[in-house]
Amino acid sequence: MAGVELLSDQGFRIDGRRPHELRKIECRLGVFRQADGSAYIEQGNTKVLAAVYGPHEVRGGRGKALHDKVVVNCQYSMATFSTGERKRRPRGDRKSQEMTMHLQQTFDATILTTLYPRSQIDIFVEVLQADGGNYCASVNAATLALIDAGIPLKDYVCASSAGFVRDTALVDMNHLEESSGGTELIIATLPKSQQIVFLEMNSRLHEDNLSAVMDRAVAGCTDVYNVLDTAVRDHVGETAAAIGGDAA
Amino acid sequence: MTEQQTWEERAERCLSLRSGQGRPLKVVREVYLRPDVPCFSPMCLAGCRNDSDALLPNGASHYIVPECRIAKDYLELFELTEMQGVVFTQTAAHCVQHEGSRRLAARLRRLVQDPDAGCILFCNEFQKYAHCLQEPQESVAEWRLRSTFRAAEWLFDHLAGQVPLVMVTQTEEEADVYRNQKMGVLVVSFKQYIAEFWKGHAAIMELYTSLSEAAVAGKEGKQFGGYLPQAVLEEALKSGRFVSGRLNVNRFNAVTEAFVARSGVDLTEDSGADILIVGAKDRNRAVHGDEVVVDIFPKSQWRMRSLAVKIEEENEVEDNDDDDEAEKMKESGDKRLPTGRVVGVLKRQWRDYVASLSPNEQGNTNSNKSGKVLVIPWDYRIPKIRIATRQVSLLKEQRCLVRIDNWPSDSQYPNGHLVKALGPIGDLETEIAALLAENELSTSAFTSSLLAELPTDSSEEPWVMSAEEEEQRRDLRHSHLVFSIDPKGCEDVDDTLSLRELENGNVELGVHIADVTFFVQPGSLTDREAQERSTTIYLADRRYDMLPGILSANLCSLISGKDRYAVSVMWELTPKFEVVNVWYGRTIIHSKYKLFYEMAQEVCNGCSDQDILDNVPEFQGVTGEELTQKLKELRWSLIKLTELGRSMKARRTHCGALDLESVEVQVQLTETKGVEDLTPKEHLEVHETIAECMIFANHWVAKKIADAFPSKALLRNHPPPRQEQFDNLLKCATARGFYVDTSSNKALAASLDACVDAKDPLVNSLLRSLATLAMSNARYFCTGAVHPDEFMHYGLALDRYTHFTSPIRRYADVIVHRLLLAAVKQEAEDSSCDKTRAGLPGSKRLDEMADHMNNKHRAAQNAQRDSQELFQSIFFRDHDDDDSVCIADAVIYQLRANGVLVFVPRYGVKGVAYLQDRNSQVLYIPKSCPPEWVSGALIRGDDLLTVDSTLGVQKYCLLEHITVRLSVNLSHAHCQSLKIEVVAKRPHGRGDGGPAEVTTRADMVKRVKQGAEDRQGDEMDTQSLLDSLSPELSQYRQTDPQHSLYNLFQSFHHTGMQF
Repeated sequence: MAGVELLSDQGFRIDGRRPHELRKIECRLGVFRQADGSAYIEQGNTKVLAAVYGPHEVRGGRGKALHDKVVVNCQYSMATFSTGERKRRPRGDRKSQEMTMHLQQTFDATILTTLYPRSQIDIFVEVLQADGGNYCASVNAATLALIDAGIPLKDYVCASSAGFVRDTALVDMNHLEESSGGTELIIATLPKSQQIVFLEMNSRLHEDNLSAVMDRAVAGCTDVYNVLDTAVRDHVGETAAAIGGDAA
Repeated sequence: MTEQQTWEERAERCLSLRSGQGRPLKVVREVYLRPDVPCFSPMCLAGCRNDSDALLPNGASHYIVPECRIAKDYLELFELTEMQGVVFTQTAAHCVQHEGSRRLAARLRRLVQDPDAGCILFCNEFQKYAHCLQEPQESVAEWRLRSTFRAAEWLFDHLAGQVPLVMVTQTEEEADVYRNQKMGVLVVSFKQYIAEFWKGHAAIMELYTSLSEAAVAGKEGKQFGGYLPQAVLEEALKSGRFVSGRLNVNRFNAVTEAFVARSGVDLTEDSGADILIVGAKDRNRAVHGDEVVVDIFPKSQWRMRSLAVKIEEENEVEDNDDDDEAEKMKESGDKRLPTGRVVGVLKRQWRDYVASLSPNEQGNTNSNKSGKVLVIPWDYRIPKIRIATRQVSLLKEQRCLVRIDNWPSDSQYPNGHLVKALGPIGDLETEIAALLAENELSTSAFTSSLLAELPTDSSEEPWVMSAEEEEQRRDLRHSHLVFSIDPKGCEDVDDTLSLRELENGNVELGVHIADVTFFVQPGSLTDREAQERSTTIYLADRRYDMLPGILSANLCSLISGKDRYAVSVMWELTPKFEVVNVWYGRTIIHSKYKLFYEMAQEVCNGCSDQDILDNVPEFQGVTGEELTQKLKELRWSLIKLTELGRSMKARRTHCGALDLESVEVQVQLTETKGVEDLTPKEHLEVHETIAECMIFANHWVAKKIADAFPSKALLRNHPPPRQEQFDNLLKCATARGFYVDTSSNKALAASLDACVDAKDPLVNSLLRSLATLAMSNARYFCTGAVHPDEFMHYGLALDRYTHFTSPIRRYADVIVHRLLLAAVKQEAEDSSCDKTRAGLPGSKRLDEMADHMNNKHRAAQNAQRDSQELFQSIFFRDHDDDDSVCIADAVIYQLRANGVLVFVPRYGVKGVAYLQDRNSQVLYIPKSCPPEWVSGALIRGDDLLTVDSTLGVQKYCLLEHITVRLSVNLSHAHCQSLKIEVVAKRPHGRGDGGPAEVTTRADMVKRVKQGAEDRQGDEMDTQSLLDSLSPELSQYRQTDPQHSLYNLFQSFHHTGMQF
């Protein structure tokens, strides 16, 4: 097979999107009863489930507790069936560990940690299907789950990625675009204050193009925020209606 | 939302692919569908954003929608400008990309971007209403057909039925399925379409038939036939059914022409001629240098070799070329060669190749950071190599080293891998590294363990001679006046001379050579390394030593004013220079003077004392009586030596030695490694004198060791050339009415001497250089491996010859030194016991070593020549085309079908000047106007090439002088070659003829002097000698009439000035 063309002359990406377009996002809050908060998100074919427990007492060794803030404990894992080829992924492989760390850093910076000293919040993220942008989808799902759990946050954390092909920045890369070996910039922001919580970039990119790629990724985050916010409002509306219905 | 998201629907597509390991893999891909896919039709009523230059034509009678395989197989047909209004669906484009080649996909892309082509790409798979998904039970071919039809249908509706659409399919059956489904969308087979719509167009019909044939043929699979099994090959070789040999690709026509030189066949036989292999298919994946087995075709299929010098171009489309070439070959020439095809490869001779990325790969690397790329080797004879790399962007504009791994039979190019990158193209260091790598020379630094073996010589720890050695060696420090003559700035002085008069009136000549073997013990690391390197490599701007600097420039080097060990050969000669006695052995010498050639020549010519004092540093601080004495001594030695040299030369010439010539050019560098000028090397008599002494020494040492070790001495022979090699020389000579007798070396030498054109001194030197070209290479050999009849050295006319005089820069000399010393020792002890032979290689080992040294020497020489050419090209690159430096006089020495081979004496450059370009236009040169390319023909006669153009007729004959302009062919992948263009059909600047004539006069004086020596030295055969000398003598006495006319006009001129 000859090399694939990531961006056609007519400005279409491989899956028919234009460079600035996100994949289709669908999400639901409160998918588990057992967890304190949970959410499920689909970004195109990337599907992620997140569950939040806590705040609760610190489990497993008192020593881990912090006297002035909450311990944010994350766990990222990918289902065996999440990729094209079935592959057993033992918990704690290098890739998951790295992702876990990244999530932990992201949410340490977003949760109002000082409100719950000497306690712990657990965030579990499971990727059910991976098709690019796993980190972004995980962050978005975890945000929704935290909101569902009612844990105070500074703001939504929304993540998005951007790449650079044929002098054009592409937002929200799918697996095929990611694996072509080009640049990928991953960013997580607090959309209201436009603050960057997390930023990572792979491969090389000329300095002149950096701002274009970053702008595109930040714009992607804002778009994600709009979708998430609508979903949260709908969910809250539904819940309120349900409660209101009971009360009536 | 920041920007509008315009997709409206999301669909999923299931694909069955194969994973990297070849396992089946099911992949789900999303497709986002939208209503706003542009239709690129100017008739669009729906307001599509058709913001592209390439639109469908406005007044087309219909639009064509080709089905996938039609788009793939008949793309060339759609590229014709007559074919307008072609809508390629995205489905078809994918098919071309996946099932066709990358080149084909690129062509399709160019086609739909071309504003004049009237072809567009319609992204039907992203259009919400035109796309269709593959049903589970549907085959890919069926789905593609349906998808194309759906696109055509939608487009027809979209344009509100203004234009009818024609969908073309591969077969009738496919067309039948959709034939009557939609009014206005006509579905027909391609055959029918061409027949009905393009009835009157012969060109389209013809192209269609040839393409459809090609499409059928292309399905037949593999590019190349397989090789026969080893056992079959061996059997067939034994029975003589097949022949084996080494494949040689024609440098100037690398794509189609190659020869196999038969091995192990008597070359004089007619059937032993080289076998021609035409085309890539018959060459069957063999690469230049491979040992191949060839099946010779029956005589009816034999072909001619092509006579045209191929105009090199980098981005050749190689696939289609073969047939035209073959056609051309059939037409031209008259002698058919045995032709065959490769059926097996006995031994691959793949080495590391210098290569660089092909320019069209460089273009599209933006999206493509890894994967397979094609690289073009530096050597024209090597095919392009496909390598897998992740560093495409790093390799841009770089030269790299590539190794071939394999060549599967279904691949057009061999597969290889990257070894290392050498550096940016055009950089001097890179180019030098490239040419060393191409010649397989390694120039790594000496290892530290090797250096540790060597003695030291620093100011704290000066190197001293051991008393023991001093006792054993003959001491010449005070008894002999020893001096050396070398080029200016030479560091590794390995030969010195001495000359003195004995009491009995005889003369004693001594040649003292650096005693390298004293420092380099057999089997030591230094010895092994030196053997591996075999020779010091001299490039135009640097050298790579065979021995570490401490030896080559210091301890072994016979520097003046220092005591050094030497190996000497000393002859006692009668006043008429007959050898009375010879002595070989180890000595200690003290060189008094280190002269350079120009200075030594001055001394012989009798320059003033002051000149000598200024130029020879050894005279500093010497005054008075002592000085006069010393000067007198030196003068006497040099003059006597010159005399001796002349006599020796005359003697050799009498025996048939050839005086061959090649113009060597010296590169003068500026400090920043730029090239300042190219000057031909000056040839002085003293060069010859020194060379004669060295030949003399080599000859005597060869005699000695060949006698002492009849089966394991290392000698050097020069086989006589093959007669057919002289063809070109004979042609050139006949063009000027000379006859060259090539039957023996003596006859050749005599007839070459006779070929003197009084008006054109270049003729002689050109003929000599053509004779040089005809020579075979001299080579080292082990006496045990060759019949004594073949020991003969053809060029020097000596029965025994070897290399003894440069042990610092040639390993062969080191071996010869060891042999000589062993021979001397054996004689002294008067025993043939094995003790003396300790450390000497056996016959078989010596034979291998000789082969190795021959290879290395050839490689080093090629590298030297390449570096000269590199600097030449740098020189001409730095000068403008109009610079007077670039215009020079040239002599035609060979006529080819599309140009002439010329020799430019000023720069010693040989090359092709084209008279016919790729479009078969010929070069016509009007008087006092720049040359023009006009249509016409070239007619090639025996010694005449006629340009028959619309403007007039011009003739080129052999040995004619023309004016040419030299410039550089800027080449990306290959070495930069010189381009030679004919500028005028007359000799360049007659005024420049002056100095040339002066040198010839000096030459004549010298030759006449030599002639005198001849007569004096040789009692017999004086008559023949006189015969050969007579033309020069007569010319010397008689003033050249042209010359005197010139003088006459000159005096008129002066008179005119005075008044």
